[in-house]
Amino acid sequence: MLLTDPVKDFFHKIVHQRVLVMVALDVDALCACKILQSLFRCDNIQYTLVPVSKKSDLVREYEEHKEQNKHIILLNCGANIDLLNTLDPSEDVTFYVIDSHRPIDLVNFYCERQVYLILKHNQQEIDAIPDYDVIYREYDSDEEESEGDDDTEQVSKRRRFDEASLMRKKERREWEERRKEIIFDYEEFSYYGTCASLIVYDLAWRMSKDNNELLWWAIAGVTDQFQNKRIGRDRYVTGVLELQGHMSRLNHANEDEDNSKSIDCMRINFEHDLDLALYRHWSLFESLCHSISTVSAFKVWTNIGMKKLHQFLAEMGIPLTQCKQNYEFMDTKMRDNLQTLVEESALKFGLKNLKFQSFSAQYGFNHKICASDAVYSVNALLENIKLTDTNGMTDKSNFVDALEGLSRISAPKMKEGLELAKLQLQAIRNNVGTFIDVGQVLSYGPFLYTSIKEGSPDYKYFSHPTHLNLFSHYLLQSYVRSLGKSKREKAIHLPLVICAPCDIEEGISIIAGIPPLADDSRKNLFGNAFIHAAERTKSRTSHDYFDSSIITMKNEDRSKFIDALITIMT
Amino acid sequence: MFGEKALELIREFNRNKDGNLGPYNEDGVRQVLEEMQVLYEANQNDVAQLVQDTSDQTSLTAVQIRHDSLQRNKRCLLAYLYNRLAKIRSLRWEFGSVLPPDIKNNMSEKEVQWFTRYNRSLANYMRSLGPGGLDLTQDLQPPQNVYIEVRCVEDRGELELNDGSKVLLKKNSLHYLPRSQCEHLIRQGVLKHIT
Repeated sequence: MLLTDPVKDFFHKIVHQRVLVMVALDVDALCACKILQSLFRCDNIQYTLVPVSKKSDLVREYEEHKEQNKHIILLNCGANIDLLNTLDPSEDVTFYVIDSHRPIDLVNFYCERQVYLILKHNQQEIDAIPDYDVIYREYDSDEEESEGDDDTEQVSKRRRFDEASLMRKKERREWEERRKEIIFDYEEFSYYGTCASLIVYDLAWRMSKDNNELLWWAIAGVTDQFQNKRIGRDRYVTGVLELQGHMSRLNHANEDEDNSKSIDCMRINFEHDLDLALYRHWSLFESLCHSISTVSAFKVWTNIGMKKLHQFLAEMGIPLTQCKQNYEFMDTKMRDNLQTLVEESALKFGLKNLKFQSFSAQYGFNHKICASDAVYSVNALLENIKLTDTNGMTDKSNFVDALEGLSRISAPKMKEGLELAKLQLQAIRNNVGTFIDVGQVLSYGPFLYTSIKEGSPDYKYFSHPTHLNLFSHYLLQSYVRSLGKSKREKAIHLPLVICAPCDIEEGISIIAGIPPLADDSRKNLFGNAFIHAAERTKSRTSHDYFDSSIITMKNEDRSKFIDALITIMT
Repeated sequence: MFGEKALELIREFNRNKDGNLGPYNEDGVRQVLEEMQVLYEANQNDVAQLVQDTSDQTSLTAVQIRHDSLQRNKRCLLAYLYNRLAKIRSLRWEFGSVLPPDIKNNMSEKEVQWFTRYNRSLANYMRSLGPGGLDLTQDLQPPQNVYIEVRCVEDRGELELNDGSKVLLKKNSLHYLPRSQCEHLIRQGVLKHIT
């Protein structure tokens, strides 16, 4: 059921209760969790936080905790699965779902109690959900019964009703077909809605409990969605503008000099920033070599591309010694002019969208971090391969680490995460280069396909869903740019399916699909396609991730699964 | 020189004043006592001589010095023992009635006896306060918040709180619990306080 007033129907209901918060392992969910935590602290609500990475995790943790908690909050998980069916909760358990996964499961949406959805009241999203009447019909069950009765009644009597019952049956069949069609249309694409942290921030704002810190987390949540290409640029800008409004409202009091805040307070700035990965914490050169837009535009994996990158730097007039230096040690003059310099030369080199609206936070004199870097860092902490043991299972300490990294922007964990993020980006860059050089991206007709071999040096990085997803976006964009013009026109409309080893001993691989480059709505059709392909070939797959476009399967079944996928999608 | 060994005991205690309780130096104490015994006997002999022969006063200074050394040794020993007891007492407030084994191993037998007796009288006193007793060892400083945020370090099964509700303590889950309920678990190292 949709909650109309989250303050009254959600927050006031859980005050003085114990709550269980189940948090999916992505940055957005962690940010939402951080905001919720501080709200709970204000009202002395006792809570338990449990990380869940997959659907099976959700079921297991629920079974373990169901005795102790009757109020359960799901952050970025659960909206797209039928909770009542999978968890089979007893009557006194209530679920509050704050999730950005779409489409919302219809049972969750239409059930009268137990499952409550907290959404941003976005007309577009609500319109997408089919009407109640189309999906459920009151007389459905009656008819079933009367049909059963019919058989036992006398034949003569039955004939008289024939006409009417036939009509009814026909109508019902038509209705059922239409229902199937509507549900199919509804569930065809999976995509992301408003991010969870923004919804929770909204809740905090309604209760007048928002402050700069909460705002920063909301910013990180929105940036995470954009950075991992879960939402298009349009939706990101809408989100950013909303946050900017909040920012100026929170900070207008200390704009004049009389009551400006101490430098030791956290300060958030809105700015047009360069879309380069981690450049404040790396050298400019490295960062240009590892950001998605510059990697694909210059084709840095080729010699010519490298030359072009050097040309670009020469055009800007930044000496090589300067740009290979850590950003902190670059000339102050260069640093100040960097944005205009980059922008001017970017035009000449046909680099588009190199600037984007973003936020940065400052704390004291030396801790300045921009939102996208923070997201890189926390993501890296979440998918830290050092903590993963051989089974691909972690002991959840990555969750605690990531929360710690988010807690303060000056936290040492944040620094650690930045270093990890650099390693991951290097792995991405190296692999993008080799994949395109070797021609490992193949066109299978309706989609592009590529796979990461078990022996490759960095395969461990790619067994994590978020990182695999980021890699496939890098790869797709670079691949499309590397093609000739005629081929490019075609490839730009093709989605990409990528396969990576997940658990070598068990012979399990992870498969992810991403939407085509040209599509800015980021709607993903692979969720359903994967399910159908698996059903058709009876492959041993497990659709365990919350994101339906990422699945795991047995290696042996892979080829027939891909064949089936081709037939389905053509 | 007389009194050297006793001073060594004091030094040793002073060295790990801020750390944990050091091991009880039984050997050192025994040596001091032996020294005192020797001094006492020597003094006894000289004094007996002095009493017999009042004309010969030569050994009087020696007696005086030995007596002072005796006094000093006694003082040092008492200081050593007293300060150890004071430390043990503060440990009782820090760790509760059950001490960790590594600290317990550092205590002498008599100290253990004293500790159990102290425990008993403290418990008796606390029980006599108000209806149902009052745990004095809690909240030595006024707490800032009734609830604190803790992270569970090991699997511990269910924890039942005062209000009857239960919490499942699983490794790496985070909880927001009443401070009074989890303070002892933090001391035992099951939970970790997140600031």
